[in-house]
Amino acid sequence: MLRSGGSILARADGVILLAWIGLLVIGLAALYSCTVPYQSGDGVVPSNVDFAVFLTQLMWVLLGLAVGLICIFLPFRFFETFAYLFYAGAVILLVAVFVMGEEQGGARRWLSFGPVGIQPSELAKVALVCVLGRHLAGRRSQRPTLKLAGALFLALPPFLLVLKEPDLGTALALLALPLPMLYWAGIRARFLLALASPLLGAFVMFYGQQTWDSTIPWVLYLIALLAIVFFSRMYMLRSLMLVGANVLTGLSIALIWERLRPYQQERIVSFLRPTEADLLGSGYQALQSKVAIGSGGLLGKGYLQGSQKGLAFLPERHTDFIFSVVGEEFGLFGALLVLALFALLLHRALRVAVMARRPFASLLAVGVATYFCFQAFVNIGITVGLLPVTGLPLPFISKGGSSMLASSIMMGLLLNVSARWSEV
Amino acid sequence: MRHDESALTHRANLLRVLVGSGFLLLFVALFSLQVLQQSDFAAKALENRQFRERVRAPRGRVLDRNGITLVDNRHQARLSLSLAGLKKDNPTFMRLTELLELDGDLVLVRSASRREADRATILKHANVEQIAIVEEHRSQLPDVQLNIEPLRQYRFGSMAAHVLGYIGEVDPEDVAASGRFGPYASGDMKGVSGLEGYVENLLRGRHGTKVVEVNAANHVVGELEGAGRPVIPGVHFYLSLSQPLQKALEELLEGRIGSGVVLEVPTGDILAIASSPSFDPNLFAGGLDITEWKRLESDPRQPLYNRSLQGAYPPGSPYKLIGAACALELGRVNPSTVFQPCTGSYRFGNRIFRCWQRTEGHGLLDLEGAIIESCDVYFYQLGQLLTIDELAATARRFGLGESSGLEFEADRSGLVPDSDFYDRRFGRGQWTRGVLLNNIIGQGELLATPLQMARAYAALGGDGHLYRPNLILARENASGVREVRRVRRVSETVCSDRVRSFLKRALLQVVEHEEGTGGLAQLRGIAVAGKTGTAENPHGEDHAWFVAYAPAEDPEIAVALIVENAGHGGAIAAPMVRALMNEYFSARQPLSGELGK
Repeated sequence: MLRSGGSILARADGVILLAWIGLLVIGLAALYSCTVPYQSGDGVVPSNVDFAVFLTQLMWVLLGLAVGLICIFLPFRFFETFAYLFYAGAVILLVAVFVMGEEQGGARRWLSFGPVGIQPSELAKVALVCVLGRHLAGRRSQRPTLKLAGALFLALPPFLLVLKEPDLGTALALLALPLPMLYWAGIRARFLLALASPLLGAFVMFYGQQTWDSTIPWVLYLIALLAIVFFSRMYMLRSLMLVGANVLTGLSIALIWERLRPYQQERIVSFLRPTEADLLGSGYQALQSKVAIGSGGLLGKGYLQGSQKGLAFLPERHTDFIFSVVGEEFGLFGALLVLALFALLLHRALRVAVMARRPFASLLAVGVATYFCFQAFVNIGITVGLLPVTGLPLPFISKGGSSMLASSIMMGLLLNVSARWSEV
Repeated sequence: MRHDESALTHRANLLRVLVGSGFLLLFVALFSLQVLQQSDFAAKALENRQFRERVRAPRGRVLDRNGITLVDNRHQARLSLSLAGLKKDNPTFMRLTELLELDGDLVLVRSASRREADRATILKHANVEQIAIVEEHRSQLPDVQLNIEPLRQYRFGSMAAHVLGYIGEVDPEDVAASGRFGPYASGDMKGVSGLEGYVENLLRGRHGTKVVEVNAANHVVGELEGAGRPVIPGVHFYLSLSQPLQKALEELLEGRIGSGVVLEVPTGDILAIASSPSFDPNLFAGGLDITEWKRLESDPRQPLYNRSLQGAYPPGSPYKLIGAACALELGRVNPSTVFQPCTGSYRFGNRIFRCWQRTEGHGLLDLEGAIIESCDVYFYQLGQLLTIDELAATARRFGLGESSGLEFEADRSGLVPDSDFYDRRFGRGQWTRGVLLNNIIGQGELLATPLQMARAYAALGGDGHLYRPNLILARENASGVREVRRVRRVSETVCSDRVRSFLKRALLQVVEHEEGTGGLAQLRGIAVAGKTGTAENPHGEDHAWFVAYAPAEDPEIAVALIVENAGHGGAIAAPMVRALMNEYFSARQPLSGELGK
């Protein structure tokens, strides 16, 4: 039963739609800026980001819009029915990457079909959201532990496959997606926290040692954990188990790391971050990103006039670090605008999730919100130096066809749900 | 999951808070960067520019066996400008050419092909004045860089030029194949010939990189720690050559066309090896000068040609020893065998073959006498007791007709004709045993290099085994000196000891006997044994050969010397060998094994 297209669109949340368009515009503007030659003091420095890149991205934007619109108009039961099929397809594609994938910069993430290449890991995110929605919406009176186990089992294969590529950022994203959805499906927050905390603690310990060579972040984390345990008045046994598990994982990470010889440490580090095309190391990238953003100030240096970008001090500026271009050229205002758009997206998406009457649709909306917010947080966090460098695209803004496609599908799904249960 | 709106709203709010705090964190970070630290970062962005520079690895040195440096590097100053500034109307460019009094157009043309990354070389070797001028006017010349770089230096000019080789600028293909992180960039030099070319990949080491920060006045203000790659210096090579001996050999050949080789008999080490005329590799070290190159290439005396390894000549009379060895081994003759006496000529079929002593002839001689006086007629008759294949087989046992096994540029194998060769040349049944007469005295189609002759005589005088010639003794890198030379010898002896001791006696008499042709090689206090040769040359005067070893009983060195178009071996080549041996024995170089230091 297809209602007329126009009325569907009219019912969809206009704010979300505007946010979508807004992000696309900012993305294209920033990318265009990357391709433009830079006016230096005594000469013009051509950019090494080709204009063709911009045109390609434009094409992906349009394609994404088309795909997104299709997703809006499709009966969303379509997604519910074929969720497991999408999931299976995504896993197959991820396996295919190992067999036929193209190697690039030490990692295998791409499948090429003639002139076009796709990253199955991006599509895997979409598939995971759909399948989790289906799984968690499934049986109403299912025991929580079963739901939890099921969700984790579903997330595990894509997570492992992506981790092996290696693509740490996307792998983490895949791990992060189930958590809010589980929460939404009824698993209690404490439960999730308890489950995630040892791993979280391990990560905090590892990154603390990596980035600042100190265990203080972990100690702070432990203190916070103890506080939460105390104030939530958990049972003694459980709290002991929780704290114990955290201490165990944290310390073992610390000890193992100490034991490793420098070259082994090197290897693990470069395994986790294989996209270092420069000899210069990720410290260089992070520093240049901060310089770009910081030197932008309140209002930025002006459109097309970023010197860090123009003189190519900013590596990967059209992909992982595109936010730095926004920060450099549009200043704090520009950066906050992007943050605001994502925050808006989150707010309205959750609203949609509350209003949606079918569990699947509701879960889908939460999954989409997670998808956008997690990636935005990590990507921007990297550019401002809060997080260590891993590759995660900024949805709708970073260059990349697969990311654009996945994000557009997610947006389409969101708007679909929104249109179905909007307040008229 | 039931649809409980209030529960869901509650959860939605928690999620909002969670993400909100995350975004708040980001906001704090952004605020810190863009408001609190804005001026710092702005300053950094404006003031600092970074360049990734290549740090050139020092090229490995080449030394003689005793550690005397033959090739090393000195420094030159290179001036470069960024590509963006390489324009006639660019103020920096104009000022630079004005200050240094350079022709702007010429500089533009030359620099067009001398680029590395984003810079072009203006001046390859800036001298002290030019450097001073640039430094003085630094502020007017932003973007101009002065890099101190190594320049290859051949300490002794043209000495051992053919062995050492020379360097030249890399081709565009090498640069393209290197890519961004490979060994070659535009303007680099690489070994083109000789040792420089043979072990280029070891001599060049591996370049490193460093990232330097440069401020607005274009001075390097710092280096980015840990953002680079350390240099691996080139490997140093110790050659088997002995510099004083090499010098002596080259001085003897000065003004002549020819070549000489001195081998250390117990090891096969090449103590000296020279080809004359030669050239000075320093001419190429700073980049090719086309006029010089053309001059060398078109010189009819061919200075670029390495006669000691590539020059293949008819061996002449020294080859008679091969014939003698063959006949003795096969029992066709013995030391007291006599033939028809030599009258100066010999009839074979319907041809007349001459002896070099064409007027009187040598008269009646035994084998030893024939060797001593180098009688052709005796050998014509001896030759008829052999087949061409038997003679060829013996020659091959002496290492002729094939490459010597030197681990270096391939040396020529020469030519030892056998019946197959003649069949192919003239047709089956179309040639006669007459070819033996030419072959037996070392003429005809026979070809041998000085290295081969020295090696054969070293075996003859030494322990009867051919040794592989060695040029590279040892390598030195950061972890120390490592000897890489292995003494290798052919297990089969060149002939039986019985035959060999007879031949050695004869060779000693060539020099010591009053009728011997090698009298001018006599050296006081040292017994020299050897054989003269006068190779007929259809294009001009005969080539003069002398191949010898000393001391005769237990030789330390073997020498082969050939002087083109010079006449009699005994008259010309023998005294040169004597002078060379004198040099060796008076300096008494330490014998094999260790790297004397």
